[in-house]
Order: sequence, then structure tokens, then C-alpha cells
Amino acid sequence: MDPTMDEFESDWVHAVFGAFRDEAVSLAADFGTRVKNEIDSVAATQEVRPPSATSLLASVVIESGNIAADLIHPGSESDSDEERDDD
Amino acid sequence: MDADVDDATLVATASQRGLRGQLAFEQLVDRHQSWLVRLLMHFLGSRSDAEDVAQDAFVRAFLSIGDCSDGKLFRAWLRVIARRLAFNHRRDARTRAQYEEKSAALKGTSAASEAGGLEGRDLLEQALSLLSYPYREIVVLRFVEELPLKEIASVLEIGNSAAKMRLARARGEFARAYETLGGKHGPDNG
Repeated sequence: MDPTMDEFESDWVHAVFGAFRDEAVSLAADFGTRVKNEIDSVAATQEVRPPSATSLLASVVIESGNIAADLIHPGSESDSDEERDDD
Repeated sequence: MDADVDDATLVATASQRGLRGQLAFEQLVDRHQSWLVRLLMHFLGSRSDAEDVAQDAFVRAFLSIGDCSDGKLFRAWLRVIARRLAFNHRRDARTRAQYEEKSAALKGTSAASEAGGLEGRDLLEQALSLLSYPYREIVVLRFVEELPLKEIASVLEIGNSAAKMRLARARGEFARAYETLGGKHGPDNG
């Protein structure tokens, strides 16, 4: 145990702070709601919340389509060729 | 989610993100908002400042919940975040001016007469407001939060011996302020 604990437990300063320790803090009525709204907003903007199931499924479908296209046209490197042409 | 779920489970769920994680974190907000605002109120001396900093602390905790390596210690982890934010908030020029004004009052010989008639909670608050900020911080952590020295050192991010020394000095300054303002107490055994 912390050796200073007993020393401070019997301290009058500790005793006078009992008024603060026993005190119930009254928060603004909307404090919790405000915090949760802020968290919700941050979660949306910072992409902390993953995409919804619908958009996740949509991205899988698009990716599958791309893979299928690659399989059908295996030699197609047109994108990179075009990029080189542009350069 | 069940209200009886412990912090460690809520932190683990929140770390997984998603809507479920967000709801778990909101439960942590419900559970910890009162003590956090109280702590910050005693650090900063203002409920509105305390609520602003508490909100910021919750948001930052939410964003970095994955860094909370031991969910059982969420409260201690949140306390460190909040303390840093409070320290920065207090450094703001406007609030610093307020603290300096209050600290200067302690040095003046008229402090006792100005505060004549204070008692109980008001006296305590006034005496606390006269402390320099590092002393105020450590007094609150020790005598209001009742943290052991080791945890105080951890929150303040200083060594144990430095925390012990600061605590002894802060206690002395508080005792002087309290007495100057007319506070009465038993024998000084601290």
C-alpha cells in the first residue's frame, strides 16, 4: 500500500475536502445528449463508423464486377497504357 | 447493452467500432460523465468550462479507444486525457488571466478581510482557487479523488518522488490559504 495513504487519511485537509467528495454534481440537462451528438458527428465524419451493410455490399459487387472483367479480358492493361500515353 | 456490463467489456466493444461500438461508448459516457465533470470543475473552477473539456475528453477518448490497453482502467485512462485537456484549456490566455488574478489575491494582505464570513464549501472553493494551478491539480487528485500517490504521479505524468514533493508543498499552500480565509481545523498533523 502507498506509505503516504495513512498519513493523509488522518489529515485535517483530507477531512475538510469531504464537502467536495460528498457533493453530487449537477450537469447541464443536455450534457449527455450533447456529448453523444458530438460523438455521432465525429463517428460519421472521421469514418470511425464503418460503412453500412448496403454500401459494403455495393462495394463488394463493384469489386466482383472488376475482377470478372479482368478475367474476361485478361490482356487488357488499357488503363496503364493510357496513362503512359498521357505522359 | 446491459447496464451491468463492466467497463472492460464496453471498451472492447467500442474498440470494434461500428454502431454497436458507438453505443457501447455512449454507455461509458453515461457511466463516467458525473465524476469527470466534477473533477474538471475542481480543476478549472467553472462548470461550463468543465463540461466543455469533458465533452472534448470523451470525443478524444472515443477516437482513440483502441489505445486503451486495459479496459478495466478506462477511468484512469480517461482521467489522463481529461487532465491534459484541462491543462491546455487553462493555458488559454483568457482563462490564465482569471487564474493569475485569483492567485494574486492570495499574496495580498487583504485576502482574509475580502473573504470574511466564508464557510463550508464556499471557503473550500475559495481556498482552492487561490492555489497555483499545479498545486490545485494535485490537491484535487489527492483530497477529492482520493488517488494514491502512484496514480497521482501517473495522471500528472511525473515521477513518484516529484509527486510526493509537490503534494506536500500543495498541501502546505492550501492549509495557509484556508487559514488565511478564516478556516478552522484540528491539530495540523499533515
